[in-house]
Amino acid sequence: MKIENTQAQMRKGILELCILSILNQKAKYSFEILETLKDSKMLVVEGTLYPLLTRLKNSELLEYRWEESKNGPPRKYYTITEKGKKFLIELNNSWNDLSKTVGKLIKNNT
Amino acid sequence: MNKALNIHLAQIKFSIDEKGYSKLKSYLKNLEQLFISTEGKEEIIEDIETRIAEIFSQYKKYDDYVISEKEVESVIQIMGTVEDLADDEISEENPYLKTAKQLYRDPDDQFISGVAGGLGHYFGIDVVWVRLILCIFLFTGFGIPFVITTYILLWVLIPEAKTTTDKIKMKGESVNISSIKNKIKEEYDKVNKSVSLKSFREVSKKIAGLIIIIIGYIGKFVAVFVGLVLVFVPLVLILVLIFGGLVTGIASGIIMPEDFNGIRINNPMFLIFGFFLIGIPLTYVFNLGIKLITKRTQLMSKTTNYILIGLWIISIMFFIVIGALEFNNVIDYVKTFDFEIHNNSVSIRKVITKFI
Repeated sequence: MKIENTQAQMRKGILELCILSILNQKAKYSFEILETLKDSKMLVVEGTLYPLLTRLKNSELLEYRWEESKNGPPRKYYTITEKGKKFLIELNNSWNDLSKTVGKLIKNNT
Repeated sequence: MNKALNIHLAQIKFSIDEKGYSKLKSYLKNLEQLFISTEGKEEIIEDIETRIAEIFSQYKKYDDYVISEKEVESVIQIMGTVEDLADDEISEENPYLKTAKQLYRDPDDQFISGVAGGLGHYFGIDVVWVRLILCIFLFTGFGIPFVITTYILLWVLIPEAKTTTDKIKMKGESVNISSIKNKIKEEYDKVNKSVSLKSFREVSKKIAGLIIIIIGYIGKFVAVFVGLVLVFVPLVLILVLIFGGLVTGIASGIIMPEDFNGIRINNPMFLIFGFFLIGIPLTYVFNLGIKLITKRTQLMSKTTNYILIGLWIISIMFFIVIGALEFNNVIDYVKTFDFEIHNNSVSIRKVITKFI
């Protein structure tokens, strides 16, 4: 069993929560989402993000609009939907519960 | 010198060198395979292409800028290699999804069109046997036209295994991320090869075109023909040796039960070493034939080689020693044999004269 795999699985599980949180404040285009995630080391390669965004969009949690760019192709600006906001609140609650209980469980590990 | 190609990525035009192009192309193709069963596959690929175009735009310092192979590699690094992304996709697919084997033409093992290779994969046998059977059909009069029309029909009807998924289906493995990953690694090695092959083909088309291809086919045909001869002749000889050895062994046991003053000619040792002496070189000729047909380099392990060569040397020594030992005995034996014959004929004559 590789530790990288487990770590990737852990990150992956909460990536959706992170994306929704990032977009909760303001609309962003995919590269900005990427930057934020990369800065917080939630993402290693960019390719991972696109399937996720598409899935969230297809589940109507996100929507996007096109915007022209001066240097490069037009960009997709993502915004969170009402459904997405509700989803985010629920996810947020589960995360808080989880981190609390897991925090208790692993308290004495180190 | 490097060729540059023009491509459109997310509606933006880029010039890209040939190596970079083939790398990018296979990367995008493999991504398509990776997301084949993911919902919204087209959109994901489109997003990734758009992002690549965006990064390329940053590289592009002036209008005629040619994107290099290195820059393609760095983009792939940024986006994540197919293996990286496969790790993320793994939980979304059922790894135990089995797909039925399908008949495809194998472009990686093709002699004419890959029909034989495909059939081999389909029936789970080595392609050599398929070719051998085809050749037997072809040469046994049972219908050169029959075989050729069937072949052409198969050529037309069976699709070529183009994508990674096709190739996996062709070999009957289950299509899941890890098998695609393995395939991709194989593909990766092949891409470089095929690029050089392509440029070679272009040159050859310009210079001699068809002639070279035809000569290539003839060369292949001759190689396989010689290979077949080298396979069949030793095979027949070995069979003759085995059965011949058995027959003479039994026969000499009946006809010549006597000792050769010590060592019998039907002594099993004699037969066994004789078999090795002739059979081992024949085995090597047989292998050479197989190599010509299949282009495989290593057929027998080193240990097998050593054992066979060792046995052969022992056989030679056996016969040298026996030869030396027997020489005198044989002469003696022949003398006694002569004498017996002489005696017998004398006694027969006696019997005959009695009857008369």
